[in-house]
Amino acid sequence: MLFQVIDNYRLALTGVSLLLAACGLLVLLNRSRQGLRTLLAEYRAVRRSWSLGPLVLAVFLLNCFLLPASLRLHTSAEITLHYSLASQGLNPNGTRFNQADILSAQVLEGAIEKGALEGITAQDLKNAIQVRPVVQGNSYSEDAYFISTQFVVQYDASSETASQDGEKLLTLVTQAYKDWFVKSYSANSSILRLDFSSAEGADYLDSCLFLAQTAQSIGEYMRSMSGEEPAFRSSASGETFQSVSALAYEVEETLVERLEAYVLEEGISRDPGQYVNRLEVANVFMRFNAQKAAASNENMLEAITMYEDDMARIVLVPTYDTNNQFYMSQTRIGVDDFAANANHYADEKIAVQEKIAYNDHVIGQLSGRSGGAEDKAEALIGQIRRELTRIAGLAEELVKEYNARQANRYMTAVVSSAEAQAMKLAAEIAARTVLFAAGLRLCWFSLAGGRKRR
Amino acid sequence: MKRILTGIISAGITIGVIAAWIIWSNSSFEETFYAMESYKIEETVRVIVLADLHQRSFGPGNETLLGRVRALRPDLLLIAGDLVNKGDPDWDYAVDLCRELAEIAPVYYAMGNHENEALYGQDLNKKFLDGAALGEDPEDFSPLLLNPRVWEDLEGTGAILLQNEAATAEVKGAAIRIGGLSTNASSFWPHSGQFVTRFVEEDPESFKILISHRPEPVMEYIPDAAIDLTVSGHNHGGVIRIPGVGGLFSGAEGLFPVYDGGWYEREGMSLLISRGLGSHGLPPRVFNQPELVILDIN
Repeated sequence: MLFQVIDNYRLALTGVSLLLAACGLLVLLNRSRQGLRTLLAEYRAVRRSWSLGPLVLAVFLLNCFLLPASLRLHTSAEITLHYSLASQGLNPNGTRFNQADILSAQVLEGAIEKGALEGITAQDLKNAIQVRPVVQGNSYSEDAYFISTQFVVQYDASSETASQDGEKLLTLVTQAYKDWFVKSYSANSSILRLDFSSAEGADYLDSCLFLAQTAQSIGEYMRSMSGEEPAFRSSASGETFQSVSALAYEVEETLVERLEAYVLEEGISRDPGQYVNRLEVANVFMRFNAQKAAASNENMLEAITMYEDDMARIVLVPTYDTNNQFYMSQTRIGVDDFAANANHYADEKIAVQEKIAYNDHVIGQLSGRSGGAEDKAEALIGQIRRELTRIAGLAEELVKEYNARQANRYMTAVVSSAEAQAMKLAAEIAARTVLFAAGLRLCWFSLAGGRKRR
Repeated sequence: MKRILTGIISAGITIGVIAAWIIWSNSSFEETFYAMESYKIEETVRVIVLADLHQRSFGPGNETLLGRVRALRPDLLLIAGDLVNKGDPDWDYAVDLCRELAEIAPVYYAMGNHENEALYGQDLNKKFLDGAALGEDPEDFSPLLLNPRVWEDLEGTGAILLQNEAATAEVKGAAIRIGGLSTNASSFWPHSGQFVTRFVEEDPESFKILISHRPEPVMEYIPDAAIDLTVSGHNHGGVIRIPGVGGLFSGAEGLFPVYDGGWYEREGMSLLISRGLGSHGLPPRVFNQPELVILDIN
């Protein structure tokens, strides 16, 4: 009930003011044959005797309470996206940005939970809130094509949401959206939580491989983060993405290689017989692969010999470059394709043979050794794990700090507060009071004249 | 004569309506939600700040206030001073409220100037402290307690009292170090400065919150300190708020205070000032509804 009164008060007051003024004008028009001078003289005579002040004051007080109250029912917020991909209509991870996410069930339920709002559902909120771009472009013409990075979130209370303060609701919705956005699009650091349990009990050379891959994954991840902002530096550790990446690769190139060299030199294994068997079986398959690659390579070379004379050697295609300059482009043809394939198979053969040679070397080192140097290998593995854990910790802190800073930079949301609109509101209160007072005076004067004539 | 009478009645009605409106608007509180980000916090931590209650009750036994605090499910409750009034301190009120709050979440309570006057007989001004029998530690005010039983009763509620002290709260896997400072700008040195220096330097990995009832000493002495957040009250939002302008006055800053309420970023310091939940004496709060502050640290 109160919601209806507040929501319709503006309209009702304007209507009453205009109706009073119209009534007064109509009566005065009817009396205009008395002449303007007579009416003015009559107005001067009665203007001091009127006692409309209390009524105007009452309306003024109503304006003072009901107009600010209506701001609780109709308010807006502006969300501005600041990350670079926003201007292309994309999320920070390159997926398509969708303004409807602001009113997704997840965000609205988050807002309700955040504010512990009672008696209100996500659907109620969705019905009361609309989102639109600040500048609405279209795709009809290139000039009108515009991707907005600013969005207005407009709240217009419904009977279900009227008991809540609009400013508070929009604060909660924008905060919940920001939380959701940051959670969805900030860098995921779970890769940095190292788990060595899968390599537990593995043979020493397998451990080398596992540790090398772990170091590489940290290094690569840090390198990719460095691509986002190379200059970012942790306030706590002073590290950058690049420096942490270098630390990880250093572990691979020094400690892991030292471990591998030691294991090979000493020929240590948890189960040398089984390990040698495994390598021998692998070598059998790899020899097949090497033979297959060698045969394919020979086929390609033979094909080139057979068809070289019959096939075109060069095909030039007329083309325009990016500066719109004409040039003749040489395109790839059949012989080129044969040659590329031949190279590919030759490289494959060499790579496989290299692996076979390495395995043969390992087999040679492990065969006939009695072991006994495991303690040092275990100690080295422990040292590498500790070092990798330390570097992963540094990396994780760095990513967290970067995420926390980015969270502030992804977007800003400004909710239009009642206090900030005070001047506008004061002007509106004054204007509506004056309009009502003018209408009332006009009506009162015209009717007072009528009463006097009677 | 009739005109004068009409004028008097109109003025009377206007004053009556405004007075009724002031009383009505102060009978409830609004909730202000803030959010901040920190890499030191893994999972969102919700902090609720209660400041300047001045023995005010929202509902019988403060049930309205407690009900909302409960519903908002805080991880930490910070009391930024002035729970009681200096003239007629109702310690039972403070003890009851702290006990109820401590059942909801861990409570960290730093004293305001009103508690200090009630506890020590005077506010913690430099002149008073310099001349007082403090013992060896100029930052330990316990020898000055007029009634140590009050302090014990408050501690018995489960609330952690912070008077130039800090405590660590473990919340959702994060270590949050909370310190309490309640001297004013004049007595900061030598009666709080060393504590704050220690607080800043120790445990840099923890998220640090300093509760300082007054914002002025913090902004005057340590605006660039490595403290993640400072929480204050004291200025009651400037008591009378002029729409579009802000607070009208505060005891420390005079007319149109800068630190009347809200969120401030100064020289790397994040300062959150509550407009408070109550008031003390005249004038009443005008256009300044009592405020419960809710902060989510992500």
